[in-house]
Amino acid sequence: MVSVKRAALFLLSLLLIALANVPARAQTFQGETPELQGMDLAGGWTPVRHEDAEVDRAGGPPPGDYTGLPINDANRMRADTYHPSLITLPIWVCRPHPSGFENMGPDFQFFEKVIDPISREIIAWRIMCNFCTLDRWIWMDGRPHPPAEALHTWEGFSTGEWDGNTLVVTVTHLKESYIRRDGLSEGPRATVTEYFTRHGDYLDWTSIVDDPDYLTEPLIRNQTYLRFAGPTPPPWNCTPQTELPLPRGAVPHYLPGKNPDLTEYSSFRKVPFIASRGGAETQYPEYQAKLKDMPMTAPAARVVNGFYQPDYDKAPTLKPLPKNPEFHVMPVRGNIYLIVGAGANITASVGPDGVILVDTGNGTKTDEILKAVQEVAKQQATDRLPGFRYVRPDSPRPAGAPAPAPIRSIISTSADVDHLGGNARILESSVFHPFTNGMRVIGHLAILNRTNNLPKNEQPTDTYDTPYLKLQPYTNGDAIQIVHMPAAHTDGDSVVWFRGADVISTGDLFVADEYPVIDLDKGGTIQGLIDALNNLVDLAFPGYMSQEGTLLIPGHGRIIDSADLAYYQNMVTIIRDRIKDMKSKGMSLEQVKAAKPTFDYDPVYGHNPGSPDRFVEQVYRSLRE
Amino acid sequence: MFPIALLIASLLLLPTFANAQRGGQQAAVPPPSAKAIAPIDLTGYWVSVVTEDWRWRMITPPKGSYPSIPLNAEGRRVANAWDPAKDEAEGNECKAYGAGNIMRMPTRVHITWENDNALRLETDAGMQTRLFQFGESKPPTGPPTWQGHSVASWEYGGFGRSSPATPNLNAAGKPRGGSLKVVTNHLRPGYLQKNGVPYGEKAVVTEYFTVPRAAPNGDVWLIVTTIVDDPQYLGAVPAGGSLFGPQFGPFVRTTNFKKLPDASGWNPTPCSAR
Repeated sequence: MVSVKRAALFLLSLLLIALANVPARAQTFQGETPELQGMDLAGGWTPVRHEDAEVDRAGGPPPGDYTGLPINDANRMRADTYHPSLITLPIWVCRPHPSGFENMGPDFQFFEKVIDPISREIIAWRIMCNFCTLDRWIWMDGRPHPPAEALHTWEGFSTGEWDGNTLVVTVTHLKESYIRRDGLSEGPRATVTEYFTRHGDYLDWTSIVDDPDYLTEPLIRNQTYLRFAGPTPPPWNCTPQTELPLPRGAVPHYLPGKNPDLTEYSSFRKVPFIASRGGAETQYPEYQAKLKDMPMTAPAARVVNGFYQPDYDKAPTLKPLPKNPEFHVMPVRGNIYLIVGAGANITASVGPDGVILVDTGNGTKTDEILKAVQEVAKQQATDRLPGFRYVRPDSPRPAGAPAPAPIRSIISTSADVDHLGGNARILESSVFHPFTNGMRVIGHLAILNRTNNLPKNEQPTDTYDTPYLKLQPYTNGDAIQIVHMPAAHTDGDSVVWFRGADVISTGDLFVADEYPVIDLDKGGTIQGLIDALNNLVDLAFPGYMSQEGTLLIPGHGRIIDSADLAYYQNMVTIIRDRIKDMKSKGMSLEQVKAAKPTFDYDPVYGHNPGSPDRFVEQVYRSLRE
Repeated sequence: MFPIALLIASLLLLPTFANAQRGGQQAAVPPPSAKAIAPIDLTGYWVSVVTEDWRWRMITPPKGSYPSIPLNAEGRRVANAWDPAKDEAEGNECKAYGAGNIMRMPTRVHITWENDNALRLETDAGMQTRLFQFGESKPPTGPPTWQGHSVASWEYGGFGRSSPATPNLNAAGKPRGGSLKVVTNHLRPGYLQKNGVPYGEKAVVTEYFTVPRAAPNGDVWLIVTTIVDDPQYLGAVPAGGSLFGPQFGPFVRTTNFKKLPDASGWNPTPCSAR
C-alpha cells in the first residue's frame, strides 16, 4: 500500500515538473500571452492631438482650406457651395464622424474585446467614442459583408484580420459623409482600410479612404492614441433640434461663384491661393518647388465683385451603375421584406394575415416573387415573430392551411411599368386570395388615367383620390397607410407607410444613387417632388445619431434612412435653386446644361449616361411651367 | 509498477530534455541576423504623402506658429526667437532635418541594408543619412550629430491566421508583419518644425516603422510614428489645450510614405533654413 502511494506521489511530482515545462503561453488566456500583448487593443485610448490641431482635430477647418487632400473638381465644387449653416438642419445636428474620419476628432476611444463564450475566440472589437456612432463593431469571425441593398451607416460594416502586429480593417456600406468639415465630401461608394498597430502605450490608427467618386487617389491619415486608464467618458447626449429658424424645406448653400469666403484661408494663412484648392498634387514633395513661384492671391480674371469664380473642368469618369441586381429577398424590419432584382424594388409585408405587396416589378420575375414570399412565409411559420396577437377576421386561410400564404393585396406606387408589370400574373396566380370584400390592386386614381393603354388586369382595381388611404384594419400586426404625394415623380405617386414596423416604401420619389425622374408627361413637377421629399422628411424619424430609425425602401437601390433621405432632399433642393437662379437670369435650357449645375453631385447620382442632362431639363421645364 | 512509472516519467521529461538540447545547440549557432528575421520589408524607395499638418510641412510656417506642439515656456521662448539668417550664418541650415523632424519633411526616402544588422535610410530632402544598428552597438563617441545614434529592434506580432503558439510566417519562413523600433539619442539640437521649434541635446527620438499589408488598390505604405521626448523644451499642454485627455509629455506624430517602384523623382536637395 505504501509503495503504491509512493509511486503515485512520484508520478504526480513528475507530472508537475513536466507541466512546468509547457510554454507559459499555453496556460494563459488567448490574447494575453506575452507576445500578443502588443495586439490587445482593449481599454481606453485618448488622442494625442499633435497634428492639425487647428484643422480637423479641434475647432475645425476654415472655409476654402482643401490643402493636402486628393480631391477632384466635383468635390471642390461641393465644398465651394457648402454653407456652414447647413449643419443647423435638425437632421445634421447629431451627425457623427464616419469611419475614416472618426479618428480625426479629438475624441476618447474605448475598445472592448468581444469573446465568443464557447470557442473563447475574439469575434469582434467594439469601439465606443463620442463623435462617432458610439457603438462600432469590427467583426473578426470571417463573416461576409452585407449585400449591396443593405443600409449604409456612418460607421459602415467592418471586418478585421490580424497581419502580424497590425489589425487590418475593411469598411464598406458607409453613408455619404465628409473628409473635412468644410464641405469636402465622401460618397456612399467609398470604402475605408484601417490599420491599428499598438506600440506599448501608443496606438497608431491609420485610415485610408478610397472614394472613386470624390477622390482622385486614396486619402491616408493617422491618429496616435495614448493608453488611458481613467474612467469612461460621460454619456454623450445629442438631441436633434432646430438651431436656425428656416422656411420649411430650405437648405442653406451658396450658389456657384457666390461663396464670399473662399479666399479667406489663403490670405489669412499666407498660403498661395491655388495651393489652397487642394488636389493630389499638393500632397507630394515636388509641390514645394511650385509653391515658391505661386502668387498668393486668386487670379484676378477669376474674381468678380469679390467672389472667386471657379472653373470646374475635370469631370470624374463615371461608370454606369449595375442595372439588374441578382434576384434575392432581404429582411428589412419586423415582417417587412425587400425583394430585389425584379425591376423596381418590391416591398412585401408577410405575416399571419398573408402577403401585401407594394409594387410587383417589371413582370419578368413573377414566378420567383411568388416562390420567395412563400419561402418567407414558411420560415415565419416556424419562427414566428412575437407581437402578432391579432389576426384579421377577414383573413381565413384557404382550405388546407397553413400553406401557401395568400397574397391579399397589391399596392402600386405609380403607373410605371417596372413597378406594376407583375400585377396581372400575380392576380391570376393560385395564391392570390384577397380579403373578403377586400381591395385587390390599390393605387391613386391618377394611375388609372395613366394606365389606359395597359391591359385591364395590370391597372388598379381599387383607387383613392384622398390625401391618404388606410388599409384597415391592422394587417400583419401593422398599420398600413397609403399616402398620396401629388405632382411629384408623376401625379399618381403613393408612398406606403408601415407604421408599426416604421418602414416607408417610397416608390420612385427616391431612387438611391440616381437623380430622380420627374415625368412631366405624367404630371410630375419639381416643386411636387420637393414637397414630397419634405413630407417624407416629416414622416421619418431619425434614430440615435441620425441613423436608422425609420427605414425607407426606395423605388430602386438600397435601403435608406432619414439621413440618406435628407442628403437627397438637400441635393434636389440645391439643384432646383441653382437652375431657378439661372433661369431667372434668362439663360436658355442649353446654356443651363452647359453650366453644369449638377456637376458636384454627378459622381453620386449621375452615373447613368445622360441622366444629369435629363434631370436638368426636367427641372428647367418644370420651373418654366 | 515502478518500471511503468519510470517509463511514464521518461516520456513526461522528454520535452524538458529536448528543450535543454535545443538550448545547447542554440548556444553553438550564432543568432540570426536582423535581416534574416525581418518581419517586414522596408527596403526600396518611398515618398512622403503630406495630408496632415500641410501648412506646417509644405511651407515654412511663420515664426510662432506651433499650435499642436506641447512646448514648455522655454521652448516657446526659443521658438519665438527663431532667426533663419542666424542659422545660415552659423552653418545650421540642417536644424530641421535632424532625426527629430526629418521624417516629417516632404521627402523621398531610400532604405537599404547597410549590412546584415544595419539599415540605412537616406532622404533626398536635406540629403541626410541615418543608420539603424541592430543588436549591441558601441556607445557613440564624438560630438552629437543631426541624426544621432540609432539602435534598432524588431517588434513582432503573433495573431493572424496562425495560433498564438505558432509564429505567423510568410512563404519564406519569416515572421509576417511587425514593426521596426528605432531609438535615437546623442542628437545635435534641432528643430521640430522648420520655423525654429526646438528640441535639445538630451532629446530621445523613438520611432516605429510599420509596413502593413497592401491596401486594396495595391498601394504599400510605410507608416512611421515618431515620438520625441525632450526634457528641455517639451512637456506642456499645447496651446489648444486638452479636450478629453492628458496631452503632456512627448511630442508624437505619425507620417505616411507610399512605396515607389524605382528611384524616379529622387531629387537630392541641400538643407534650407527658410
